Amino acid sequence: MMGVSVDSAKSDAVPLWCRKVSKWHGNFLGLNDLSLELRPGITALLGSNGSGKSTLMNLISGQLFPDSGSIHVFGIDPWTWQGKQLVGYSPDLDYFYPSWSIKDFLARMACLAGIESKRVPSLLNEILSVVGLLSVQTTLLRRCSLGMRQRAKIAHAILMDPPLLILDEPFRGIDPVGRRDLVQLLLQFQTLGKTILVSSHELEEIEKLTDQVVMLRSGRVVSAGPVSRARDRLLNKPVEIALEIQANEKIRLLAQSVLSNSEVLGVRLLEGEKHVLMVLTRKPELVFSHLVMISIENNFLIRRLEVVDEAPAEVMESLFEG
Amino acid sequence: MEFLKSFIQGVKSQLAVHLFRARVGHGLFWVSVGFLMLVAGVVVSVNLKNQWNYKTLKPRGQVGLNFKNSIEMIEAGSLVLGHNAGVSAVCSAVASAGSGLLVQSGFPVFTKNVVFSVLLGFLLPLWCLTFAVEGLGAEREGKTLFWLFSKPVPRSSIYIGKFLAVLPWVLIWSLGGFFVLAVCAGDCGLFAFKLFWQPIALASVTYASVFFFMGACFPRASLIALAYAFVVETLLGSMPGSLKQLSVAFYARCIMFQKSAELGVVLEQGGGYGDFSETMAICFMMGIALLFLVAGIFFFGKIELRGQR
Repeated sequence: MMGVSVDSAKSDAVPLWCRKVSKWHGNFLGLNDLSLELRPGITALLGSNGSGKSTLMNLISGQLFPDSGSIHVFGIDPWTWQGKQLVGYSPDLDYFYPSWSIKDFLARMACLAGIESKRVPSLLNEILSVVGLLSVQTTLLRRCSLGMRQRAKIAHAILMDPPLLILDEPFRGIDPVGRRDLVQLLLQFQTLGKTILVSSHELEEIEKLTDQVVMLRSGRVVSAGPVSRARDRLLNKPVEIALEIQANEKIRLLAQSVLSNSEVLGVRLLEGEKHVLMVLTRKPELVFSHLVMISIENNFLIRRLEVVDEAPAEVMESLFEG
Repeated sequence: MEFLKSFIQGVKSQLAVHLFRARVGHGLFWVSVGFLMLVAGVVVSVNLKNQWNYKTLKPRGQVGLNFKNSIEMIEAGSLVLGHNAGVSAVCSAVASAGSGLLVQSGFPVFTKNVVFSVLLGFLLPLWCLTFAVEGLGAEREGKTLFWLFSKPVPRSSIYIGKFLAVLPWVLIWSLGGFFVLAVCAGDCGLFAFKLFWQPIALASVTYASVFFFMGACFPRASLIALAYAFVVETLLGSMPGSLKQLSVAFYARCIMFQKSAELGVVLEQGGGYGDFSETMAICFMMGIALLFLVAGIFFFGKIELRGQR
């Protein structure tokens, strides 16, 4: 399905072929000597913010040009106009022509793409129906919800029926029913032999889509493999609970009591706040009930008890640890 | 061959989508409308006072009689000196010639004060940049270039197609504005319009190419274009010496100078406008337009969509 190190020569039959690709954004190295080869089917692209996902997708879709290395889509450089025929790209940008309706937008994009004008009405009906926008096609883009605009982008990506689809965060802003439909749609495309590269933070949806993931970190491919492995690692990641009590002289006693729980991996005092105890555990729900019990027994006055929220970027970082 | 086919397809599709869909109602558009109304108002008021002639003309830096008073004095002199038939006839002839010149002086006065100074020096660049900068500048500022760049057509066809799509707007707006001013000035204005619409159209196309290039290749292009219009076209363009040759307006003035000279009217002596023949001036303007078009295609073809998120 997919290989990380590419030794084979580029071939017209290979949907995507990247060889030692690097891309700088000023002083920041967006992609670092990346090599990748995709075969038909769905592949998920995972990585934290700034890991190079969008840079890679922009390079594959010909919006950026590599500083070194080469990229070929079915043997053609995606920067060229010929390469653009082969790639349908739904970017993670939210800039449209606000005064156009969804239908006008897609009709004009079809015209710009060189689709015959007599074919456009039937094609639009078909595509709008596929992405679930048929009933709202006359809505102005400035009045569309994020989910509707997201669908419009996907409709734009499939307008030319390209063999390679690049979807950057396609589930963002889409409701659960829409997500289910989108998953079905992508699976349907897969059966038609298309190659699809999807980036997303929604591991649940990715798992429904594919078992193949490429993980990026600091512009490099760090691993590739089944998505189930990534999910297990995410679920088993320890979380920290912040526990704040009123009397800080009891903090040592509290720490001892908390540590008696076998599910607790460790405790630490929050720097600069001596009445806040951070508790590390893999099973916060079990630790919560234990905490309530010891508070009653030892008469601790708890002012705050919460799982410290992690940014998606940190969650994704955890996937690459170990 | 395949490239050519795709290029033509790209230009055609850009025209189909963008022709006559220029964005009006943005800030610069209303500034242009405002200046047109202001200048038209001044031209109308001068017209109402019947001052599009040499009536109030005086020798530079001198006080005393103006042109009209002088003619009246000569006419009176011919009557007073009636006893001397020879002198009276000469005075009469000079007065008649002066009166004729006064009647015909509307065209050079309007051309010098409105067409050469206000229109070419300021209004025309402003009108042209209103639409030309917006052509691709609006896509750049609105971060919608992606939708154009993702299409399977050469970038050069996008650039040319968009340029051709904004060109009618530039021409309609600049020639329309000139016509409005001409109508406001009356017969002399309409005569100037008939004589000069071609150099104004050519200057508009040249400005369009320069400003379209700025819109396509620079961020905040409106400000850069305004700075160019003010510094190069208004300031340098009105300077004595050869520096004014850097401005597009200079070559348009050269053409106008030649066209007027063919009619026996010398518009501005000492401006250096007679140094270039009409053909040379046309070649220079077309050369500038072509140069910026080629440069635009080159730089536009290398634009990468960084930071579009």
